[in-house]
Amino acid sequence: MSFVAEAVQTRRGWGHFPLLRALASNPVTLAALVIVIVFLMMAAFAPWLAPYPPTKIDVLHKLQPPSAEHWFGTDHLGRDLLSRIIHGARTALTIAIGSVAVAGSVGLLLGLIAGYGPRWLDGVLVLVFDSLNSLPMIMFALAIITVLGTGTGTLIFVIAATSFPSYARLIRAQTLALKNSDYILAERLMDAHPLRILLVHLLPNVVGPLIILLSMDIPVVIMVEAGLSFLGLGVRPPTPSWGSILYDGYTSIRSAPFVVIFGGLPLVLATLGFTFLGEGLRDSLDPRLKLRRPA
Amino acid sequence: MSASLAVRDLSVRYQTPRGEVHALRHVDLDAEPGQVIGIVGESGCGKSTFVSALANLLPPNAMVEGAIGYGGTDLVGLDPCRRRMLQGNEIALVSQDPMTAFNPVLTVGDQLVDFQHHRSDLGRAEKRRRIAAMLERVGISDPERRMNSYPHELSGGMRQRVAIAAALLTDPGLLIADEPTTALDVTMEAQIVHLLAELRREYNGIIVLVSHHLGVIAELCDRVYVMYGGEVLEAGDVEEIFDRPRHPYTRALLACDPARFDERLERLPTIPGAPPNLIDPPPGCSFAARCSRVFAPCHTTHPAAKVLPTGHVARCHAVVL
Amino acid sequence: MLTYAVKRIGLGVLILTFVMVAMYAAVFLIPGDPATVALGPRATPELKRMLIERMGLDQPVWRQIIEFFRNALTGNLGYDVWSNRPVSALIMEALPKTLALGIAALATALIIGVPIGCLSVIRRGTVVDTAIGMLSVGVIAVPSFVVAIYSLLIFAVTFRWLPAIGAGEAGDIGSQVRALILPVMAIALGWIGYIARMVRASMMEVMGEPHIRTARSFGLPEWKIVGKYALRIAIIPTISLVAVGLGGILSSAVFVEAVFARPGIGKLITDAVNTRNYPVVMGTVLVMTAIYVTITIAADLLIARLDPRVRDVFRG
Repeated sequence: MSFVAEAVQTRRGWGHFPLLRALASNPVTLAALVIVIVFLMMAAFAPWLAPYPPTKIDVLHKLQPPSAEHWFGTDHLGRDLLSRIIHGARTALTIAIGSVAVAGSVGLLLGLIAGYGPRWLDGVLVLVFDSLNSLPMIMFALAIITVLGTGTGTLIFVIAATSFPSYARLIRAQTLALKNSDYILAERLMDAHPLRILLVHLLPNVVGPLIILLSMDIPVVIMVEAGLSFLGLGVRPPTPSWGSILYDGYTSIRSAPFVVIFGGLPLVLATLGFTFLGEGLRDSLDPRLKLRRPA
Repeated sequence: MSASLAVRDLSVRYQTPRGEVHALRHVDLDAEPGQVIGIVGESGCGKSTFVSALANLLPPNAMVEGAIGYGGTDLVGLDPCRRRMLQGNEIALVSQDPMTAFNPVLTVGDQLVDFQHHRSDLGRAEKRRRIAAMLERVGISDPERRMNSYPHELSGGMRQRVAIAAALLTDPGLLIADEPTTALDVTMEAQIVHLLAELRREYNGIIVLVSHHLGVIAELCDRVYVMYGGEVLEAGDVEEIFDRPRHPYTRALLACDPARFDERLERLPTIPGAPPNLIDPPPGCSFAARCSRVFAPCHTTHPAAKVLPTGHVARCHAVVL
Repeated sequence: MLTYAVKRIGLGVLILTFVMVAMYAAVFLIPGDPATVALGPRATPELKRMLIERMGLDQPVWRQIIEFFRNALTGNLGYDVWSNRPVSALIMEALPKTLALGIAALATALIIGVPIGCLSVIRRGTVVDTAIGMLSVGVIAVPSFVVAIYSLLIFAVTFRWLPAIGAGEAGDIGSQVRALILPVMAIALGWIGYIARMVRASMMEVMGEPHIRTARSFGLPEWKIVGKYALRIAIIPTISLVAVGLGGILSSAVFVEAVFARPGIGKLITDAVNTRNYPVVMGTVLVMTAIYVTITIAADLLIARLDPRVRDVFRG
């Protein structure tokens, strides 16, 4: 049995000392943890940290190179780049955590149903999971955006809809394996209510790997949000997003390359931070889980 | 192609998280070309470590002391590159489990061609001709077809024949057979023993045969080394060991061999107790805890190897000249 | 083997049908009138009605779905709402550029990633191994379009070594290849790391197997043991993952094509989404899904070919 399952079973929980100590023992993971915390703080306290309002237009001072007033310079509308990046963290993390939470919950529920419910329902759900999984994610996302239009809500829906099948499949596989284990069989023989089995025995054992998978998908979601916003299909302007900042910089890449240089940095740092943190989590909790794919 | 083997005071230790494992302790062994050397012992007695040491297959965390003299060269001190060049040229191994000994996604012929990598004087077609001839010699019919088979398409006995053929193809001076019949059923075992006995007559190198099957050892070997707890407890000519065993452990081992009972027994005899812990070996005789003839010095003093007039060597305080 | 192939292909067709029905249904079941969304709130009713007719939206949903599939089977994917050109022609124009990008990126990633993974195994436990592992995770993490923008800035804008935009002149292979280099590297970079890690992970498992010991006992050199005996087995799971990943590559292509303004599938579908050009979106998604499903099936069959053990299971 994995360390995750043991930890959950003995109710030592997640946030306690052993895990943090394990994460901190690896310098790379520790650095990643620091980066992630910095970005989380940025997102939480954006209005207080940002020197200017992120949407304040000042056309007279457009495309100003970095200076004492504007540390990262200004964009093509004279907006302060640093402020936009700080507020962009809020957009990125809201969407990342929101969609991962939605996808995780839906995946957990459907996975449990597929693994524990009747056979025919399992068959139907597996077909649904496989079908959605066999779609190129971005193509599917673009198709939904065509229908729903752009915006934060659409983004969360799109990302959740394309990513929940992989979670559901993980949960289903885990549930199936546990369902036939001796202690669950014993419970069933004693006529325990299915809901009790589901909540008391299955749920605590399947959430561990799920949380690792979710944490490893956060950088992917950050990338998808930024990518779609770069294409003009993500959050609506003037909401600051790392993707739209990059696009603005891209249009003036020859005259003001600093916008692109600074605009790409938070994406690079955030994806690196979350990825290495996820790797650290996986290594110290359940090394058998699969490796992340490139974004 | 005919060099003698002289192992002197060979010890192997492994560094593990739980401590240092003394897998092999002060082993001496001699063999002349044409001889078949048998090594017997229970599981965990150091047989596999000894084989690995001879065949250059020790894991990186192993520390080796002593010498393996082969044809006047010390293999332990040899630089890794030249040591590797001896493998599959002078020294060949027939390994334990024919089911897993071959790469499952390459054909048998392809692997046997690769194993002759020392013969740069031969072309691929020539190597395949040699393989076909050798397969024929070890009793595989239709060798041309078998060469194009994948390992899983052959039976266990056939695979072990192929493994023997692979070793013989390299024309080694030292052939190590590590439990060549253990994974086979009884009829297959008899066939392989028969094959080895036949090869023995034509072959003039050294064969080191490792087995826990006493019958196989008695059938094929000239000299026998009895191992226990990483040590050689008794060594001698095959008749001496089987007919006049001196060490209590050898006697106990022989008494447990079901093939030597004339009548049906209620219970098969066993040696009570388990082999010693090799992380912290006992200071005295390693067999003391299980020995029926144990007395005071056995627990405190490590017995020296005594050479008996019959050519026997035994490590036991109870053995007197 | 044949029954296996038939089964896989049948499942693929089923998935494809299911996906298209679901998507078609979604478009029409979700509230909001696509014509209004496309034309904006100030469009005249006549214009709206014309667009609805052209999109075929005046028919009942089930009729539209059947119609779409019947046409799709004959190669007719409908017409571009704005330019009235056949969607299939648009796709045939854009697809080769995207496929060239995807295949070149995957090939580059394999050619570089597999040897790096092998090197990691040969030097296992050393600094080289650790460094390769860290670098791999790093390049996997960074989004391809950020790599694309930075490489555009460095190699095209600053040093002007390579073209910044486009897919090269028609008929000029040299310029087309030059235009491919930056987009290919942007996509391949992450995949190099991924493949190196995959190869290393599955190879480390293989290295513990007894047949590797046999190869060692015959004194085969380490590079041959790793590069032939272990790789032949380790490459099998890698291939399936890489094939599944081609879908991911096509997704990255959408963004990377936007950065380099390559007129491929990514640009086609992005423009179509922006202008609510339903037939183009539907047709593109259908074709891309079909390609993706086909690749997945092909990968499964290839694995069956590569692993004689699996091959026999399906033969019997």
